[in-house]
Amino acid sequence: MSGLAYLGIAYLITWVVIAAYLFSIMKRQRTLERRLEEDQKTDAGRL
Amino acid sequence: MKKDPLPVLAGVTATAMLAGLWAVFFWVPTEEFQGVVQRVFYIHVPMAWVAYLAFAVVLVCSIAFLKTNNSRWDTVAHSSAEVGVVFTGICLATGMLWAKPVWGTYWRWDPRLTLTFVLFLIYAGYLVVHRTAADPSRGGRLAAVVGITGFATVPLVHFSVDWWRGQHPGRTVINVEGSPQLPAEMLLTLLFMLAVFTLLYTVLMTLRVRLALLEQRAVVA
Repeated sequence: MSGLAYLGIAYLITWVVIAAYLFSIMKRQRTLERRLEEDQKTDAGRL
Repeated sequence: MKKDPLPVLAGVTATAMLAGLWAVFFWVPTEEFQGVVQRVFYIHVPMAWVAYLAFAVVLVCSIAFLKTNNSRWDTVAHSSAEVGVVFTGICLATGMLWAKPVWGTYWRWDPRLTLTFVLFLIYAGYLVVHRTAADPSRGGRLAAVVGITGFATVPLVHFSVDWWRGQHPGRTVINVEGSPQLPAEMLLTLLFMLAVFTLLYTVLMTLRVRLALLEQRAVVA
């Protein structure tokens, strides 16, 4: 493999890992927000 | 109502990142001996810098947590440890990909490489301790001790190139000679990328701390 290929893989890995981490945080956040909203609705329904 | 500064910060970070990548690929001259692969330098070094910063935040917040028992400090320390582990992992991976064409091998048990790997394991251990403890408060305190003692590895990693003979290159920006050993374009691009990745750390930290606070609200609810 050429130096250019190693350079490409290094940059690709960097962005894939950062993007995956960012998306995992945002996905977990959305799931929690939805759960909290549902809990609030359930509580309001009970009242 | 107070406006959320995160979208602006994320926008500034993304724009600065694009400008930084333009400089890396189109402005900086190609290094004479290593060729194009030397451009890994502009992400590899900032990753190490942000990891140091992240673990320094873990140190300060862990001390504050043990002193005050305020869980907000633990939340920030835990978030910073997670971001630090991600950045250390990328630093190790990019280093290996840089080493292969230059040294002919992905890995050498060189002092700098070995200690960086140890640093990664220590803070990965911090995350495991934090997550797996039966009592979350006790887990947080135990993790704080790991976070504080583990920080001793950071100066070891940083100065290992001066203290022990290895294959990893010496410090190029702040070094024993007292002046940067880089051409102006390379130094400017590196410093710019350091600033950009520090901004990225701030964005990731803000998101991660918000998630942690949401998790705490969900547990209470």
